Amino acid sequence: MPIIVNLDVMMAKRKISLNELSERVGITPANLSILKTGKAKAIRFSTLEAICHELICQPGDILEWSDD
Amino acid sequence: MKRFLSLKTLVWLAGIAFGFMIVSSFINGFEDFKMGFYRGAGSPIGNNRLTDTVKPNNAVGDDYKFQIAPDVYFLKLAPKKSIFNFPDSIENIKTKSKTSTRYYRMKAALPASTLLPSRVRMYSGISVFLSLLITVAYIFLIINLFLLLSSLQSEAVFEMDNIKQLRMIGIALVLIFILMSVANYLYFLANKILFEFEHYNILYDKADTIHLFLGVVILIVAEIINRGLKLKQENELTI
Repeated sequence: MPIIVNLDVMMAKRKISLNELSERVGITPANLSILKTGKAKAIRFSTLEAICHELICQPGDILEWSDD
Repeated sequence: MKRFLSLKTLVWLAGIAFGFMIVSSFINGFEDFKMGFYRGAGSPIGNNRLTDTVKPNNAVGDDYKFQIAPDVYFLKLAPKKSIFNFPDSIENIKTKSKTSTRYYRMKAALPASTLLPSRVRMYSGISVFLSLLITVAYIFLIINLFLLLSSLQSEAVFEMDNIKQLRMIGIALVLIFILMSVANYLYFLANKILFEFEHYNILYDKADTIHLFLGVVILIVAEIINRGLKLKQENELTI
């Protein structure tokens, strides 16, 4: 898939677990796992905003485009 | 947005309507079923069962009364001359006079002992085989309908199984229409060999096009639900 999700990289940098991040963002661990593993079809701006707020990063730190 | 009727209510209504359809078909066809049963069994039915049979002009004594249930042929007729031609008549008890009539559909009875031409037997044989296929298609349709209604009863709408069942129902209906059309045409060919009337042409009784129309509509609905399923899956994968 052309959009690569680097959520696990940011989570490791901020030393935060999946369950803790999902609780802070307000989505289920299952959904966050879908996002982390690149299976998600779309992400809402509200969710992206909440993730960036918790991980103190830019959207480009989490999402990357690749021509593969 | 207010719901018109809940899904469960609609499923129950569908079941009730289907039940009415089955009972109605059974009642309408019961007389013909009984006749066919007696004919198939080949058992003597005795004079007292057909005492209302009208005596043909050339009948001798009680010869016209069937001893064994006759072969009954269903004919669709049209007057030979014009639509304003009413070549027959029937006694109207209310006016105590004869009323001009014409036949549109007729059941003609041939004695069981009638020797049928080989082509008629061939056409009848193929029609019977096609009728068996139609019966199988109907059973298949009923099973899929039952499975679909059960699934809808539990509020599971946008599921792949429902789409498959809808497609099966649609295909079964279209297939039933095609098979019925062929069977009716063979039946028409057999009737043309057996019968010829002075005032009527025998017509080909086309299969009911409601099967074809419903089948196609159901296939369209299946496609719509398929699109809905894709939207649902996309929505479930939207974080």
